[in-house]
Amino acid sequence: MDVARPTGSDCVKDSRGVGVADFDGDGRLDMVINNNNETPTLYLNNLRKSGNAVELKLVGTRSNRDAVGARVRLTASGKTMMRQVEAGSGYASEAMLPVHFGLGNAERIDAVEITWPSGIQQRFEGESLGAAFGVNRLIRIEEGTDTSRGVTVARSLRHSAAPASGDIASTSQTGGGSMH
Amino acid sequence: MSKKQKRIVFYSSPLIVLLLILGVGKMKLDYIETNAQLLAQMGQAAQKVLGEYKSGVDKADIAKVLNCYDDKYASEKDGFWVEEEDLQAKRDGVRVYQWKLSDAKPFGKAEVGNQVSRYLKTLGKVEESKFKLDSVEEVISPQSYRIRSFLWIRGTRDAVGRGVDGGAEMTKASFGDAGKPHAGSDGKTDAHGQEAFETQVLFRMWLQADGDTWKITRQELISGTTVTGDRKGFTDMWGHQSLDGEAANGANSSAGIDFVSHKNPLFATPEWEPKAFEIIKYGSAGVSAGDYDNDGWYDVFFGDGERPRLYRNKGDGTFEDVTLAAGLPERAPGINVGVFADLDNDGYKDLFLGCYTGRSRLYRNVADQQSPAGRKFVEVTDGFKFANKGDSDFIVVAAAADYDNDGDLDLYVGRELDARKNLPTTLFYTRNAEGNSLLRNDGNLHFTDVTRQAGINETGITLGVAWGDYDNDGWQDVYVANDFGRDALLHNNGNGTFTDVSKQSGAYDPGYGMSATLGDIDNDGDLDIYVSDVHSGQRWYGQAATLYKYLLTSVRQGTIYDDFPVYKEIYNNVGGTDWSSYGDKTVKGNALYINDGHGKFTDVSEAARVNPFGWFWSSTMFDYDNDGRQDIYAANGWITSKSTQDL
Repeated sequence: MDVARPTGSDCVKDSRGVGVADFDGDGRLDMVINNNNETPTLYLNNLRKSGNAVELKLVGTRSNRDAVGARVRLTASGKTMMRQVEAGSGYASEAMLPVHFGLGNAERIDAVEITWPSGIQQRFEGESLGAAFGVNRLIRIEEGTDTSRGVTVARSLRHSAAPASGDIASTSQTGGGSMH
Repeated sequence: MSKKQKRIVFYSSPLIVLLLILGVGKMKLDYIETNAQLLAQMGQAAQKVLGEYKSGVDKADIAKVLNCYDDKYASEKDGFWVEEEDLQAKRDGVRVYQWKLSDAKPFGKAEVGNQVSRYLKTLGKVEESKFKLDSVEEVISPQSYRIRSFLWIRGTRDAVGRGVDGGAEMTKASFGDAGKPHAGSDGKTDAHGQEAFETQVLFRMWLQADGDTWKITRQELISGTTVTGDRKGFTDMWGHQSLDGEAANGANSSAGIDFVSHKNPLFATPEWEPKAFEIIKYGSAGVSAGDYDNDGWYDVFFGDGERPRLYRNKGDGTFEDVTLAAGLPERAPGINVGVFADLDNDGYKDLFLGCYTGRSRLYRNVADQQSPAGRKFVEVTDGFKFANKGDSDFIVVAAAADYDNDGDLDLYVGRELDARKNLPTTLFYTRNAEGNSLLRNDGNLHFTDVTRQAGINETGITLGVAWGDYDNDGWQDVYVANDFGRDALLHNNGNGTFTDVSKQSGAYDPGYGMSATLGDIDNDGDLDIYVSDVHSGQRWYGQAATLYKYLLTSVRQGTIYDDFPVYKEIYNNVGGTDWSSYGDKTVKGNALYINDGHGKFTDVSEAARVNPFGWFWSSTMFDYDNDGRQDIYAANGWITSKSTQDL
């Protein structure tokens, strides 16, 4: 379903490259578009009823430091999603390296499994999740630590009003927040 | 049998045999020619009718629209057009409606007039519309044929009777009811509600000659969708001084991003004038987001024809141009792509800049207290040397991955053709670009060109490269999107070599590939592929009748010998049953290939409705509404236009 127009992202310029990143660090992904012979378009994502999110910055030790090629499987509310770390795709474009998971209404992460390019697999669930894995955070994960010692909170992903502890008061009674 | 004919048979593929069988008699040849001619004539006639129709829609001129219908109009399966809301698709400020027929019954001219005029009255303000010929389905007689047509309208309309946020819930709204509050509506917010809408409808139509003009004698609704919304999901930051800025406040930038893209000035010089392939001038650059100073905020690099720029995200809602301060050149024509990647594993992202008109560059990210955020880029001049070194790099795209799993990032670069002397060899299977390269990282920002050892001989016009382990074997594969020809999925064999598995994987895309992105679109744990292509308004012409004629002409002119290796390759890739639809497939638009978990792909583009008309450049998958499902954003540009005859 093409929802560019109803969401206001239907840039009418002659577009080429698109870079995706959470430029304002609020857990909602924004876009910057390079337009031919024109000014670029920076679209700030202001979706009011956006779901919760988590962003994971992977740091390779045996693998390449940027962890490009790593796969992350994250489970929340009984659903498992997979995202990969990549450096460059689309047309001559690159998105932010940390992987981003939209979580809908889920208020907690149940499990995270990482397959690093080195072949190392790490799985965090139950007690091994530790305190760092919470929603609406940018979380840094270092390769090869079998406990949650290598997992740290880099930043809260909501605006300053949101508590950094991860006990986020629900800002998202989302219309589209259920996961399928 | 002449020597030439013997050669044909000697090198024969079933395609050529088929051609010869078709060509046994003059009558057959005439038949081919007549068919192609008929298709062309009818296509043009249909475009004229649809053009008139569109202009009636734009002006809300009911008489003009009705004039497109024949007085003898008679449709078995007709009815009034109704929008039924898809509640599953309801999102923050966005509603989706499927078109249905209400009171289905046979319609005559009077009823179709009623149907159309009811609809036009609901349209509100039409900002842009298109009515395109999708395909000529059947030539019934020289005076009669059946087409598929595609109506696309965007504008702003009255939200009355359809339910707006805060208003009554409605799942059905007949266009006939517009203007009156619907039963059950509380009427509070509906009365003056305006909503942005976009409508896409596919019709089947029967056209008949009426003297010199053609008229619609029957039509059926195939499918239709309308999306509406408040357009508040994304804010265009142009004119905002900062990302936190409440409203546009007159800044001549987007929160400090004051970049303007420029054409490459070298194209205007005798040395670089793209005499053979002029349109390369319009293939301007990409954009990359990456945190080069490790402050947790994503910076932006714009490739450009003349002045590539680096903007640092200061984390306070603004960006600043740090191009010079961070050690990058003020002017560097032809830098089409930048890749931020930590190539020396020191914890900071280095920068590879791929160049079309000149040499590409590699920069090391180093500490420097004088520079913004204490980091700057220093060029590594002897970092790489391409084996196929010409007077220029011709690079337009690039992406990094660790293809040999040795713990450092390698680079794959995609090239265009040399536009000064080369045109695409064929319009649908071009293999005469400058050839892509795989650069192996040997440490300390030193790379070796291993293209030959890797067995990658990819010479399409590459506008997209995307890495990913599609078959879950632990090795990074690469998808290559090629313009004017077929794409390639290159499987990493794990021993330093790659195999082209486009065909056996099912991800063979014959389109005008302009970018590719990999991601798990269906949340089943494997990587799917989305490719942006061209969906042409002239797709109808690429049908079998035209292809037969094209082949016939090339046999007559003898050019078949030059093209033959290409045909053979096409045949090998598409098989024996559907090669005649090749022309149609090349311009069917963006493609979504779903992975079955074992590295086999199914093209679901049509069913998933992810192939709108247009020329699509960058495409990307991301979850814009944080609902746990990846969405697709595809950027459109170039020739899509108001004419029915556009590309």
